[in-house]
Amino acid sequence: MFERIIAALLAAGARFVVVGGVAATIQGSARLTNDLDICYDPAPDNLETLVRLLRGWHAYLREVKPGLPFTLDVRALRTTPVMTLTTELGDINLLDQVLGVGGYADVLAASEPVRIDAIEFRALTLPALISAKKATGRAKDREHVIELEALLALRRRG
Amino acid sequence: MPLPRAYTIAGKVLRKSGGSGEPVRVSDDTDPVAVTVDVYRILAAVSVGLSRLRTMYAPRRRGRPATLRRDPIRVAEEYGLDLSLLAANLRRTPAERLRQLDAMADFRRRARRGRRP
Repeated sequence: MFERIIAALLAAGARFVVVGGVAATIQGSARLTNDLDICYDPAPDNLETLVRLLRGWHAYLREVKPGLPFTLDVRALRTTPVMTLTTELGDINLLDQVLGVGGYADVLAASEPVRIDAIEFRALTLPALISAKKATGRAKDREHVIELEALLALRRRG
Repeated sequence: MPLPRAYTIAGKVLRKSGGSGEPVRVSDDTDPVAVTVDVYRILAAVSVGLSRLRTMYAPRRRGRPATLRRDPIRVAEEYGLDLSLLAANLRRTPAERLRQLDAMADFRRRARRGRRP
């Protein structure tokens, strides 16, 4: 599911960085996640690409009743900092910035390339994931911060 | 614009929109100014906010975060995290980690689907 969504985003030419739980998994976290979080380049051409893809996947808002007003277009994406969607391919969260890291340019700078067979994309680094989790200030993220910091220490020990 | 007047115009807009997806144009009789309001888009923004709240909201941590620096591995051990799981994950490649997550997410989705009447 996640690999398929990432591959489809790349094939369409979308510019994004994988953040959140999937990035944490790629870095070694043992926690499960149900959705893919991406931070996207807010340039108009990229927004158009994302909108086209998401419409094709029949994206709709997660955890709300069907039929509520919802517009998925470039303007909506440009004015919405976080969009939580469910699609035919799986659940995806679109973020225009990551708390504790910054906007797309900062997120890109705090990411590293990940290669999976023929596809290559960028995912947030462990230190950036730790900053992001700490910045949310949510009680439920505490355990995740402990895990990520332990991972970083384990990795540094080699 | 004074708030009472804005309130009157907003009321007019809502009455006129009647649930249609089209932007609503209203003008004030006393003034040559006309306003076009995209009611559907405003409601869509509310839907997006509701979805975000239901999906991502969690209570915030109370108090100040600890400033004392301790060995993160010891902290994780004391917290009860299974470090062998982390060490095993670190031995895997990123592709193996992602595929393992994919398989688990798929299993969870199928199990949920199977549970439904």
